[in-house]
Amino acid sequence: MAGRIFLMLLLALVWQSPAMAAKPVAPELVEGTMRVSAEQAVELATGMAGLVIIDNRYHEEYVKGHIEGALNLVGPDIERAELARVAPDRDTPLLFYCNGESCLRSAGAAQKAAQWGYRRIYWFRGGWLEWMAKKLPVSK
Amino acid sequence: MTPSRQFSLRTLAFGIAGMIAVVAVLVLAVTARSFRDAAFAAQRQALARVIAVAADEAVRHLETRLFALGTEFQERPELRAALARLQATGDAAPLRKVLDDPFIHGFFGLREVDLAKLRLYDTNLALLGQNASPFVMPDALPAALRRQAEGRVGADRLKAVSALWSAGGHVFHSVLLPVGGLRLTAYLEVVADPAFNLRTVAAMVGMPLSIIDAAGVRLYQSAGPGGADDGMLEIEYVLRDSAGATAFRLVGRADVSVLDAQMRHTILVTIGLVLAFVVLTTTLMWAFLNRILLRPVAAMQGEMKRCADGDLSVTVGHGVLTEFNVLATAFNEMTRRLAANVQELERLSHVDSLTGLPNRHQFDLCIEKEWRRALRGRTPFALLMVDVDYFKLYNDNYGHVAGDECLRAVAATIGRVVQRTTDLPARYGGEEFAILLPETPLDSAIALAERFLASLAEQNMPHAGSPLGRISASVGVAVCGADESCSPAGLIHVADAALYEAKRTGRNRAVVADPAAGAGHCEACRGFVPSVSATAAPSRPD
Repeated sequence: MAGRIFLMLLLALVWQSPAMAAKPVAPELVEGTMRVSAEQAVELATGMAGLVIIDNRYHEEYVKGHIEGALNLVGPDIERAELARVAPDRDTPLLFYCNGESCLRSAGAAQKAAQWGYRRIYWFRGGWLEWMAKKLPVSK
Repeated sequence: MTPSRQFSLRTLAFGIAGMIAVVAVLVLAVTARSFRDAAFAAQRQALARVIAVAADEAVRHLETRLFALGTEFQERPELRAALARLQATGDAAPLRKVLDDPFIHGFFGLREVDLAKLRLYDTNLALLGQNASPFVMPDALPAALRRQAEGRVGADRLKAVSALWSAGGHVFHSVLLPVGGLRLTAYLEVVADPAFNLRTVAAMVGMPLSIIDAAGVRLYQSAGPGGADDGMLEIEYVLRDSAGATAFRLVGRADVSVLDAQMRHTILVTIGLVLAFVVLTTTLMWAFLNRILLRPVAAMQGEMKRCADGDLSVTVGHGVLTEFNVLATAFNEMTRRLAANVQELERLSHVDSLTGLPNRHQFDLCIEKEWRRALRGRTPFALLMVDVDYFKLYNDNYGHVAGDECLRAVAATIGRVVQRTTDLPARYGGEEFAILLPETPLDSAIALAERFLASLAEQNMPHAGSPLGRISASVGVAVCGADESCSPAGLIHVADAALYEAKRTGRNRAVVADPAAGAGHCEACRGFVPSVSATAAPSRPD
């Protein structure tokens, strides 16, 4: 019994440690992806045929406003099959975004897509915060 | 010279303490005034900042609302269709219908925005259409928006821009946003009256607020106390449009009566504390001064007064102050020397400097005194008058220095034969001496005169001018019972007469006064004079 309590305490400690540290920040770069700004995202969205924009935010956030044409796949634990459904071809250009640098979901999703063999991945690190700050068009 | 205006050390100390108190209170009063002004200025500045932040927030909120409403509106299918029709066929009627739709206006109004205008522009910012509205403004994109929107390329053309701008004495807030989402087909300008939204500032800052336009017209006045009361502080914040001109003046009124009361209280407490401090300090200083300065000075003053009144025996005590000690020491030394000098002077005034015997002055004083004493005691009183024989010849023969020596010798002889302390031998003048013998009967006086003449003879001091060849003297003896009918002068006269008689009858002898000589001078003398007789002094055979 005592051993179990000790183990629980230890687990709690280990669990607490990351929470005690600074807020997590999205990586500067994700391997196998190209990082883009809001303006570049607009250019891609308007100029690149077949681009699939993937919004990794929660559904409640998505319905309040998103980039025109974006699909909502809540990240980072996207299903391979789910992605394959919207982008069957590994050469399909993909653009991932979520809330911004404090959000790790799009980075995780983009990384998975890269691991699954997608070759044309764009990662909009600034995400929705940058989009709104630049007062770009919002779609509902 | 004594100054006409004088004050004591105590008055000076009180004056200084009083001045300190007055200056402290004055300084406090002035400082308190500045402190109060500074506090109000700081309060005004802080509250102006609060209004500024609140006004900024209100404008930003309006901007966000306009952006959201514009975004929703530009997505409406009827607008997109009307726009497509206009662009395809040039038919503007459907677009006007959409823009003037009362439902649309209700839609905007419900969103806490006072919509002033809806305008559509093509992608080159040329006006395509606008709704009808009571607001008067130029039919073109405002310059403040044009400056931001013109000449943009790429994704930048999709960014919404906003501005606070003025036209015809009215201030508007516009947001210009793209129509068509990421595929730009036109621009929509949503214009609102910001005064409506600035009203929320009053609630945000929690004070009564007036919104005044650039022309000074009061657009809004929130509920709350008006007028310029003492307890109210007026705070103004100027909200400027994008061109930097005054758009609105937001005037808040803060109730500072509590702050004011607190400050007054603080000032009063401070003044009270300072006064208490001054009183305490003054009291302590007073006690200290009293101990080390005032009391010693008062004591010194008393001693000096006693000294001035003639008591030279006084000494001033020492204190802890160096300066005071120097003064006290100097004063004590001064009185000591003065006392010594006075004593010496007194001695000199009573003593004959040549012979060391009491002088004529002292003799006069004493004969008066002894005379009164004899009157009281009814006791006999004798006087011998002594004169050196042939003294002029002695002087002529031996010189004045020798003459002085001769007088000193005679005086010394007199001093030797007069042994009672009550007797007073004195130099009466020139070569004449007087010996006052209180409580002395005639026989004792005669005996003393004879002892003197004998002593002189024994000394045998040479005198070539004298038939005896030595210094001799003649003595007049007078005795009387003190009587009010008589006087010291009478006694001296009688003794003088006896001396004259002694001279006349051959010198070197003592002659007892003849009562007849004293007649008219001293009646009482007779009773003591047994008979007229001349007593020849014993003389040496030579």
